[in-house]
Amino acid sequence: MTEQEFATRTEALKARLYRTAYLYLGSEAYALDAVDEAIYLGLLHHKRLRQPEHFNTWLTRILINACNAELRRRKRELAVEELPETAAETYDNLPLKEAIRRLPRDLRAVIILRYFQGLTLAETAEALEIPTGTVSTRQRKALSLLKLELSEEA
Amino acid sequence: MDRMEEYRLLLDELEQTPSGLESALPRARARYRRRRLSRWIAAPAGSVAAMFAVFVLLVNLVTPFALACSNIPILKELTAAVAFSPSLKASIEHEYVQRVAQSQTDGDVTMKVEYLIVDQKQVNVFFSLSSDRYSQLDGSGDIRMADGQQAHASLSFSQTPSDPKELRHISIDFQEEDVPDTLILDYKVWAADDTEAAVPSEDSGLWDDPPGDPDAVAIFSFTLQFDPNFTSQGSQITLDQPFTLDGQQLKVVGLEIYPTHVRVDIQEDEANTVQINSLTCWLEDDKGVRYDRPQGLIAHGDGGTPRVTSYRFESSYFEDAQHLTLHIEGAIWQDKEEHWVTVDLTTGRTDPLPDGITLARIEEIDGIPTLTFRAPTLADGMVFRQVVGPIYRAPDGSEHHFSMASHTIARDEDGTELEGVFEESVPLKDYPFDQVELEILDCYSAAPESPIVLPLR
Repeated sequence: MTEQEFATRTEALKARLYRTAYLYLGSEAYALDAVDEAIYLGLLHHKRLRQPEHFNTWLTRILINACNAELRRRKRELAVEELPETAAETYDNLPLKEAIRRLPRDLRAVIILRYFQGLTLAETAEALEIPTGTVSTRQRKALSLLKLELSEEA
Repeated sequence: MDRMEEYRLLLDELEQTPSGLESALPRARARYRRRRLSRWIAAPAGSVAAMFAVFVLLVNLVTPFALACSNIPILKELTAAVAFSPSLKASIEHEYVQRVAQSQTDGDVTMKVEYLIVDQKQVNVFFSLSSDRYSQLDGSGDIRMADGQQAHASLSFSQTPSDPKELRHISIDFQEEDVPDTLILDYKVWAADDTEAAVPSEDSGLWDDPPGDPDAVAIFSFTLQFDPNFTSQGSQITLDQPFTLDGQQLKVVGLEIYPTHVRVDIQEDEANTVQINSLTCWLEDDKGVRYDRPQGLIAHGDGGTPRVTSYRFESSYFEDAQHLTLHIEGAIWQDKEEHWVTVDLTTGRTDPLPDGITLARIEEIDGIPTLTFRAPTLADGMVFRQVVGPIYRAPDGSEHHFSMASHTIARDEDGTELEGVFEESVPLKDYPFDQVELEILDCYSAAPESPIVLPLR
């Protein structure tokens, strides 16, 4: 992929990347930092991306890595703890944004990519490097915890 | 409000993106170009067996000393510029600084050489670049003797400062010769122009002229004259202290103490079955103060027989130490038999490489074909090592010397660090051929059962 192609595709994707980072990290400043880091790392390695059709999931994966690195870095400062899947009643009492942030990490990733970044089941599976069946299962669990009635189709 | 209504509102909220997102791509591009320009540590062809490592250290600037100096206006910026160097910090603390204050302007850029820290073997130049037009400036330099001839010294450039007002630093290290009375510093400046990096719109076409190699926006040439009181500072002691490491015979043959660094010269016995690629070692004085390896140039080989390598340490000069003890905790050994491989620069095909080493890619960086090899890290504390030998051969039989090498931690396509793997990049400057012969250094690490402790007397 050329630098020009990288730039074109990145411009088209950046708003969705920001939404993903914002839901992951819960702050505009942290989300912008994560998007900056992901675009920089993407630029650094864009020549190695041999199949441009995988660009969106590839850059999304880089972004998720950047978000996870940021979460690990400030783990001690984070007041927000993940809630277990068994805490259904607690999820009910939280605003949606907060409830998403407190989902277990695996479920949170699926919900954000599917319903806020707009990836398909297959693309979500590719971005997270997990089977589509696993995406379906996690999606179902997360929607149920959040009491969201959204389509589970691809 | 039910959950679905909340969901729709949250989607609406997320449609509003911050204005900072608009410049995310230009920011990444500027950072990318800064990295390309600043990650090199340069050494001239004369430094045949120079070994380099770039270590990114997280050092807390807020030391008592830094605080003390920050009260002295003239040294405040200089103190910040040497935050990573205990030796240069000590030099400033002892007012071992030559004030210069030379300024030149070329076009929209002004370069000011502000301070020098000089001794018998090393020159440290501290300077600033400023411009009303360009927000981000990078550069590269070279040095000549007063008669215009290339100086035989190694140059190390510090990372580009994040704050443009911070002083920049070039270290010029002489191996055999002493620092002369006068040097000419030539410096070329590139700019990352904010206006050029504006966000492209869909209909304007995106970089119709893709950014190529940057043209210099300013070129400077400073004649630096050194105070002889500084260039005479340093002492050398001849030693004859043999020791055995991993069954190989070695001898400390010299100790050189300068204000900016200390050199320990180690000779390898010609009968040894392997040769040293690098040592994990440090110095300690009689007061228990520890002196580690510096940033930038960490060792320099003379290329002679028997081999003598000069290992660099932070300086004990201002501590007035009576004795120094060398602690050796490990070594990376290199096969004595030369392992040459041919690389086809058009296909990337190579002869078989030693175990664990791969040719990761061939790419053009700043217009220069650059080969990047991946190799396993071998020992704790010594992440990077030399993978490619200093000489390369062209198909017409000519021999060339690498002028630079850079090291970074390897990352996969997702940007995740690859544990235990690093990359070495070497540029083939002014090289018109499509094939090259390289020497690949086949290495292994070893640590003695207990560290070797060697009083240097």
